[in-house]
Amino acid sequence: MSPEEMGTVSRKARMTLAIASVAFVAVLAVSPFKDYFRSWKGYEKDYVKLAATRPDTKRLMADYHPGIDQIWLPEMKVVDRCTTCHQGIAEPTLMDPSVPQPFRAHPVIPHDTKEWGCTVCHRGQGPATEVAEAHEATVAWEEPLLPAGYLQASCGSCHRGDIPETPRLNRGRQLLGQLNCAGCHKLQGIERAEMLGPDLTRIGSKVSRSWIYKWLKEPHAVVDSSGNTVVDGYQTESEQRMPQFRLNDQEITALSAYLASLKKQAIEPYKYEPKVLATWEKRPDVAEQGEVRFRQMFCTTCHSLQVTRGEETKLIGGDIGPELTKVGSKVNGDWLISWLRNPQGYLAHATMPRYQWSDEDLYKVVQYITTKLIDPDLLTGVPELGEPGPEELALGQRLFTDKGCASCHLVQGVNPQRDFGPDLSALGDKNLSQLEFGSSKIPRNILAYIQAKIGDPLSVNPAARMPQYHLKPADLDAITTALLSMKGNTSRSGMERLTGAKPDRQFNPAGAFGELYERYRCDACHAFNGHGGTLAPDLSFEGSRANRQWIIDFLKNPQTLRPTLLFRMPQFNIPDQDAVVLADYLVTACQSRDVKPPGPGQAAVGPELAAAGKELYEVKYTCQACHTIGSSGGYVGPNLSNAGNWLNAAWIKQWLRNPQSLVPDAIEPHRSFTDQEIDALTAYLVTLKQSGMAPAKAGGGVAAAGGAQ
Amino acid sequence: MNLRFVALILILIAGLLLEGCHEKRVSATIDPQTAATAENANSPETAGSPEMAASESSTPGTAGSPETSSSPEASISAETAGSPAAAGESTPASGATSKPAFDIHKCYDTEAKWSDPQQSIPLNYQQAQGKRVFYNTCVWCHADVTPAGPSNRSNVSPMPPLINDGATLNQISDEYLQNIITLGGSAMGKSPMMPPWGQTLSQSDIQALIAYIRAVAEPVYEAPAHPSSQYMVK
Repeated sequence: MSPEEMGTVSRKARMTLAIASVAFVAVLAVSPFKDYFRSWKGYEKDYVKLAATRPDTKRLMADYHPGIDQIWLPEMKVVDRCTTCHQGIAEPTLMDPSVPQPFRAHPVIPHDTKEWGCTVCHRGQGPATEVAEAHEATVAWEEPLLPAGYLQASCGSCHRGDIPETPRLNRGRQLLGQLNCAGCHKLQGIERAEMLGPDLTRIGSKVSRSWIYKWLKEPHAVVDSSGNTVVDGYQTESEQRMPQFRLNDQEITALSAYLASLKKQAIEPYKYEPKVLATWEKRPDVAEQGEVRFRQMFCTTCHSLQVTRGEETKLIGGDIGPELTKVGSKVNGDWLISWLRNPQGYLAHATMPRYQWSDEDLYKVVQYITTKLIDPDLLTGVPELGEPGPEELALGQRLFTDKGCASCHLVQGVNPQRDFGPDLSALGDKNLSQLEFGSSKIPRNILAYIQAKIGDPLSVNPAARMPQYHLKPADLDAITTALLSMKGNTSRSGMERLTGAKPDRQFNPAGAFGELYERYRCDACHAFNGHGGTLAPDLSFEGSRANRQWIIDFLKNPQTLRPTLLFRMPQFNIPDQDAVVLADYLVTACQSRDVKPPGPGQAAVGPELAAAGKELYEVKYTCQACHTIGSSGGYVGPNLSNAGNWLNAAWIKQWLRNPQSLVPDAIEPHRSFTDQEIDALTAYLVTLKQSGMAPAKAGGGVAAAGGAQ
Repeated sequence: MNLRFVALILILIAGLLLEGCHEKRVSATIDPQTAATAENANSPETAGSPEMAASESSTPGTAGSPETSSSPEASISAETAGSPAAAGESTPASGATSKPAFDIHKCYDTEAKWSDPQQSIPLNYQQAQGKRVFYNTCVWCHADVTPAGPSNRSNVSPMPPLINDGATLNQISDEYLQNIITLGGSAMGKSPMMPPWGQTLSQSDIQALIAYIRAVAEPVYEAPAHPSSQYMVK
């Protein structure tokens, strides 16, 4: 550049500068232009237009605030701008399906949408103001909207305890427990139970090696072509707890050799009284008699049996104990007798009660089980398994821990591998980059990942150790929901304390009652002060409800109060002195504060009052719609024919005042009776007495189950 | 050298203008299905205002057409054995191919149609709570099959209507249903065998129950155009 040219600007440079300036202005102009055409502004305009067409325009416009709207909940990590476009979210008049989205009001839910925002339940990107960014996965935000079918997962992220509003989530949590997922995985809110699968320490004394081989090969659950779970060829509602492991023949042979060698203590053959044997051994109908006894004792309350009626085959009975259709071909006869006599002798924490067997009953029932509940073809296809060699045993023992058997099954002296499966307690909060998709073809999102992992573990990881479960689609969805709800301890708000699961209560009665409580395993079905099963009535207030003599009679001969019930109290053959101990404890200790015993100055009730009560029962309140007295009435409530012997008058009065105060989930409606009406109805009910009790009908409950859903 | 300036500025402009599309393309590389939805969001062909159509198809709460659906399980079912066949379980769409089939995963809960258990009725949160109340409280007399087995319906006279009996219940207003459930049959001049539930169930339970009754009604319930009166239309 020459000195003359310095300080002057060439024509070319001027041109460049001019173009650059114009371009720069254009660039600057892009911003306001783009800002003007932001999609949320379009939605706001559309909302104003929509509001103008509604009858309540004025009110809608009073609630309308232009501009970015934000809900900020720092403790919940919520920054939601969804309401910028979803303007009508809290307008009850916009709930109609004809209102176009995004303006439709949110359906009724227990939380205020304006207070909690959207992403805490729906997920997605809260701060986004673009449609796609807010709803879908982007590079910066890997969490798209949760499909509505899995929304209950979000309920479960805060509500750690089961709430009735979330059936799918509750089912999923229940399945995670039932299917023993906690054996291998760490889960949030589901603790590993003391015993998951059966204790195998002495399995060799219970079943044969051939049976173990068959079981490992086909753990008796398969899915037919239509997706139904089929157990031994018949369809069932219940999920099978033992999944299918991918084992080859050599592995199965080795495992069966190892397991069959586990016989810590041999089972002593039981010696029947010679008199009983002499009477029953030659009776041709001994198995039939055993079946009658089996049904009379209500074994089916806990155990199911395969029943074929016409074309349909299904399992009927309870699921507390294992299904028994072919148990006679499975277990060793001496083991069976010793188990029936004392289940806790074989397995310390067995749920099975210790029955008071007479030798006669024991013989009959064992004959029934070993001659009728069998399948001669059960062990076909099992090769000849000779004496196992030491290498085979060693391999079996190694496989037992390597394949994960030890994660669910206890064998004394064998330690399971720690953390066998991955920790799932924060799975719902994982980013995509934390999930190992490998070379699988499944869509890259967490829903697809979970479903593929459970539905077919090999599809994600060809070397997966996870066994194959055969789940129905609805159950797979339920488990997915429950897993998605596990987000670790992310909340700093202390919400868990308010909504957490209730800790399991303990109830450990001492003394003579405590001994019988253990023996008959009352807590398997009944709850006491918040501890125990839910199959049978909660007995926390039984002493306020029932008369002592009635309890004694019931224990000795359990009658059902509700004829439609399938599951009834088993017949334990409780001796008189035991029944008295149990009844005395219930009457003394299991009392409700709300039931006040009558004071000393109470006037005796006359027959007029009872007659007035009968009138109220039959005409004004038509109680017969739900309760049976004598031979007529409804099935919903208990049979009241023997109410006078059964119920305490004070209980009846409090029950009529407010049934839910005594049994929180009672079906009986809470009515507003006057005190006179309560006195009259009570006077009538206590006159209802039956002298002789009808014998328990055998098989009636099972027949009724055919109609059950 | 100056040309280089111009080129740089032009690139800057182009970059700024394309910024919006850029992000969508990035998401397209992650999930082709998302890209389909994003493209759909830009195409104004769908009925209604373009913005509305875009949000309709990208919100999983509302059904998108099967091709553009961003639902992950629709695609998983094709590839994984034993996983739910989302499309297979849905009710048949009413003829038109553009009308999306109801997806069982896109609603809070479902109820099998009583007249045809193969079909599912989608339930929203409130209707699902009504279903729970129904199966706890009402099923004993307002259904022919109950969780415990046989129904009590035949023991009650006059026989109570089934809960899905649209022919009877569609004639009755929400307010009348609310009253008869709350106060019982005798208070409304009907059978005293219908007890009052007002002190057992909360008002929100009863409203949920009515929402459920409307959802399962056969024939389908259509809400009145005008708010109905408190009294039953005779």
